[in-house]
Amino acid sequence: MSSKTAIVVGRGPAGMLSTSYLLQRGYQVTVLAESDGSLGMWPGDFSFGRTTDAFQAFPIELSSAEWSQAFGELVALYRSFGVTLVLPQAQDIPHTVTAIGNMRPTFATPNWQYASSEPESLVFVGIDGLADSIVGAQAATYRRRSGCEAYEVSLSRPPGWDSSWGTIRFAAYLDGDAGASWLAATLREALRGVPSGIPVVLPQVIGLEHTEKLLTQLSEVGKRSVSEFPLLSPSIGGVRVRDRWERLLRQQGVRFVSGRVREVQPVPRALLTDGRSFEADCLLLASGGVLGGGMQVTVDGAIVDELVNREVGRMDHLDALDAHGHREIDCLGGGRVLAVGRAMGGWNPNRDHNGGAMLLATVRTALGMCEEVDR
Amino acid sequence: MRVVVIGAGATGLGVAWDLVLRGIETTVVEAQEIGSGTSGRFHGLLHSGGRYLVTDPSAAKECYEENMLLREIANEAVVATGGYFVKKYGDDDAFEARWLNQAADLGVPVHAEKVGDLRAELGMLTESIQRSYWVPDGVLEGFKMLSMLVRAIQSRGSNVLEHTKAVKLRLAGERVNGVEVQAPEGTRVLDCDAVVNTAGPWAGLVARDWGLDVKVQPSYGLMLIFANRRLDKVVNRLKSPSDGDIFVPHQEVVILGTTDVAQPSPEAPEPRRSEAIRLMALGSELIPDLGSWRVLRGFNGVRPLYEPSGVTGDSRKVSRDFAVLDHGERDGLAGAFSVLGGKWTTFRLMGETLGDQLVASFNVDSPSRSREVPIGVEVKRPAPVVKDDRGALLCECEQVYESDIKPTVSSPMQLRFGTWFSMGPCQGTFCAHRVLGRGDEDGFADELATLRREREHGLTVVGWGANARLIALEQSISAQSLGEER
Amino acid sequence: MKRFEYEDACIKCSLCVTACPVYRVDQQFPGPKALGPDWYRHYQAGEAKPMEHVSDCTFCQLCESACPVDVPIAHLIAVHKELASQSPRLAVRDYLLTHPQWLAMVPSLVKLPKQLGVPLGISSSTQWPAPSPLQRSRRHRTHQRQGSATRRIGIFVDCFTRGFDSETLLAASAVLEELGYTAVPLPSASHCCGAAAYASGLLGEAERTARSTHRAVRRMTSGLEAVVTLNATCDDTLRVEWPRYFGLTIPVPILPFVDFVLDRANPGFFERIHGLPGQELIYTHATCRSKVARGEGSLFALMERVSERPPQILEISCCGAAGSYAFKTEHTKVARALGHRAKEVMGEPGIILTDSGTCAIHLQELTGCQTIHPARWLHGQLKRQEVLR
Repeated sequence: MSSKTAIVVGRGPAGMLSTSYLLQRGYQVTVLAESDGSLGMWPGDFSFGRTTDAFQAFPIELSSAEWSQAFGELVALYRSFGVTLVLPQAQDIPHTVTAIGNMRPTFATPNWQYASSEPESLVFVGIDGLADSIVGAQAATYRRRSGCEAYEVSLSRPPGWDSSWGTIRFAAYLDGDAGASWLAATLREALRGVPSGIPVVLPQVIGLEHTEKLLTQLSEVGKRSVSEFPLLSPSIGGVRVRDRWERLLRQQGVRFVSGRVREVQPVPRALLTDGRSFEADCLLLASGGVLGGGMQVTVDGAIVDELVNREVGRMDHLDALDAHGHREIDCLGGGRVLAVGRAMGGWNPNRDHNGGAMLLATVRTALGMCEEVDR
Repeated sequence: MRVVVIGAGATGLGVAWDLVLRGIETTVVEAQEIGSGTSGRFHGLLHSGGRYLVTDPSAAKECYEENMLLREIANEAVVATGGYFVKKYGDDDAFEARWLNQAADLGVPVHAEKVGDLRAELGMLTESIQRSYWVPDGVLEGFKMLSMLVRAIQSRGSNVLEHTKAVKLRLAGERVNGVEVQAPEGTRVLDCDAVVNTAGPWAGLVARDWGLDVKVQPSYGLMLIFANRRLDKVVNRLKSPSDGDIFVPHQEVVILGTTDVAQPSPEAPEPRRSEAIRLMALGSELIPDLGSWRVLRGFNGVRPLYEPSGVTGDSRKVSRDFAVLDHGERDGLAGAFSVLGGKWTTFRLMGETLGDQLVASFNVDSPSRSREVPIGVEVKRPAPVVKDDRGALLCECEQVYESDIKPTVSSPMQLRFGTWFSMGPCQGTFCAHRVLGRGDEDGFADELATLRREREHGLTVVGWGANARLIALEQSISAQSLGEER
Repeated sequence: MKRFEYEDACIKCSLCVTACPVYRVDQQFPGPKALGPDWYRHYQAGEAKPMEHVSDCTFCQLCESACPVDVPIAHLIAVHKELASQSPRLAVRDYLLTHPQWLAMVPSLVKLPKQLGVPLGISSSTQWPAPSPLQRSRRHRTHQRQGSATRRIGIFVDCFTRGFDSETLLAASAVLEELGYTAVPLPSASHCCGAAAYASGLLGEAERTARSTHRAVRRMTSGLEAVVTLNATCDDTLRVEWPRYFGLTIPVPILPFVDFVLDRANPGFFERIHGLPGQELIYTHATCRSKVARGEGSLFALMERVSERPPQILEISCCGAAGSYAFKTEHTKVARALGHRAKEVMGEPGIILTDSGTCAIHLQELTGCQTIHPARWLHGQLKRQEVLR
């Protein structure tokens, strides 16, 4: 057991990415986390920048060659746990449609999610009994925003439905044989009379495990593209990514330790509130921003990272928050304790659609620094 | 006889109810919506009078008597929680002595409670309580009381008109004989023999429109709503009424009140974070662990205090008592009245007092009956027999189903009058687009944006702990899943 | 019972719902958010009406481990369960099932699940364990062994192990002895941590049981380096719930058997076992409560070090056994649906290792593969190695 060891604090997107990349570099990794992380709260795509500036570097500068390489690695990583990521071509930023019919720029997108760089006519499918489904208002908004046609169809409630069904229940139901055949039959019936060839978008509940198979079957039967648009939290897309990614990491021998980290020391060492302590050659702090719990907001408005006992900003006004709290990446231990992702100080995920960029840039930079220290 | 009442808050509806019971045809006009002023923005305390025993004895006595009466005639809108006054070590002993004397003199029942027993019941209270007293405080469910009043008034053939603004008096000589009102469907004149100004904090402005000078002193107070009902009794600090010294359990939540800041405008200002922090610090003097209680939002209400001698600037010192002005006697404008100041708890008494003066001025012998006639039972929406007929669950916090919002209604405020959607722990993060998306499709995006902005204001002032994370989640969802640009 | 913390912190993200095993297989189950924080808020406001299906919760606590804001979701559901009235006959059964050591003392009882099942609500399709109570003679033997090593640790003998699985206790003691420790079984008489009662919503019973066991254990901890638990649920209960909800603490560290071996064994120990020929494929099943309490990967890491063939993780969530859950008629369907996934994910037959006696019975029945405590497997390998040598 002579391999290098690493501790990752947090199992959200930054923690998972760090863990995978550390494994690739030969580290034995222990993940310390109190809860399951925020992957299940977001649709699972990586967003980069509000505008056409897809390669904005935040807060670390990467060259465009480095970005290309980073994206290549990301695509390969997702493929290893069974998710196909689609990247945009050249300077076209594709847009997905949202639960309320807006268009949102998206970047590295799992292929179950609808994305298109040109607005086009769409068929919006609603499901009666799914609370997030507001197909009338959604299609009306889409028409206004895109200037394209939006057809509306509604599927009736599935057999066995009751009013407590949320998105997870629909997804689990559609994963089963009964759900899959209900969907195929109901959708075929509902699309009768809608001009052929127009792409269909469904709420993101098409299974947790068999999504790709289900969507392919629906596309083949209906002879048109069938894909999903993301709903609210819990985001089924994020849950799919989380479940598959964690399964791979477990099989690769990663230890997921449950517990609250009380303090991080430069050694590097992590102390848990229950008295356990963990040491390793390097420690990546992927404890997140305010949403992830890495940053706490106190009653008097201070934004605090309790693990390293630092105030990183103040919450005097919401709009000012994103600019606050960036801290030096090698915060402790001469480059052996490194903060990544939102733990770098980004207060809030995706206010500016740049969470993906921040993740990739900080994790890659941190890993580079780990190797530097080892030399 | 016909009377027009201006303002459909507790005062206006209390006045209308008393007049209606005397057989007087009454029309209440409300510029906005029922209860959208002070009456919809209060902490929910049904006063035992304990709070004003020393500083405002007549208000205290009235509060106690009305409290007991409302339990009889409007039991459905009253929760007899009981309350405690607690004195901490170091709080003024002389104040306590005077308080006890006043209670005995005024007949407000006060029982000493062993501190040990109190802390066994309410373990969250500070250990440094020296003495505690039980009082018959209660909770007044404001929206329920208002809807009961509206129903009772309408059932006796009188009217409550929303979105109807009184713009001008029509006079016959020096006597009022009509009120010109503006409504969505146009301007018209309501014939009447008398008009009553019950516009709360706006009463000074209404009187000014009539060419009169009435010294209303609006003062706003910040209240914090805690997400869960972690406390089920009213708790007051036993000292001179001050900021952040009262907790009121109200349905699923607890409300901490309040600040008291005089201001010229009758409109509630945006809540400020610095004041919320101050209120938390004050509240922690009674509940040390308050910082770990989840605050849902902060909101400001505006008291319509009346100071006959003019504006003093120190609103804590202005009496909580009410006044009825007969502008015929006072200003030579016969048939015009104003009802000023007062408490939610005394709304009925204000109606009775106004009614007595009004009928006396017309030399009519028609005694008040509002003391004995029950205000009536609120009619509940019938629940569907079969569970799944309710449709999908749209608001998980307050259990609002698709069937609860049909048929389509025109404004979010109306929706909220019937349901509590967006008022619960998610503050509209999840339910807002679901509920509004099922309403009017054309105005959907605008309504959604308006509601989110409003919720965000209330949340931001208390954006710490779990709430800060809710704000982050809400923004993340807005940006990612909904694709809303700010 | 102490007051909860953060019962009002729910931000409605629903991550708990994504983690709930029952929600995925039972279409009627309202899920942890509705049964926990949503219900509790209305309960605090005086609306105490319990919801249907609340007792279908397995109390695996995966919801709590998913929660980003520390809401004690499962424990709020336990309060909810307490309020859901149980018919007197099921109440008798629940009480009996929270004391398996009594059942074991009357072996004829558990030989008759079919006859008992109908009147008592005990599942007739779930396999019952064969009683193997700790015999006086065997107990004597473990005591005699004391003194051969100087470092003393306690083994918490939980109610199930005492009644039905003395093999595991003996195996664990033997392995610990091999590592240089004298294992002291504690408490000395029949006791329980109270977890089964808590899971069934019998909160008063859980606290009484915990207090009485705590008194018995505390008396015996002087001179012990640690207390080792054999069952992850007991570990979580002793280490986390006792102090948090009952204010009861044990003055020495509490460690699960697997973690203890992984931390304390020297490389020689692993090497001795590693490389024994003819090993079958090992699947590891981390129980829900061990995931919640300590995390995943210890058992897998231990097996990686001692198994010639690379072990595999049994990729399921809660197996459905959940202590006494699977033995109750009304839960049989959900329990079997959950456990059935194990069969689906297993590529080839093998031996399943898990540190819970009831998970073992359940998984063995549903997969047809031998399922035992890792201590027994390790002990078996040590014995084989002696024979081979």
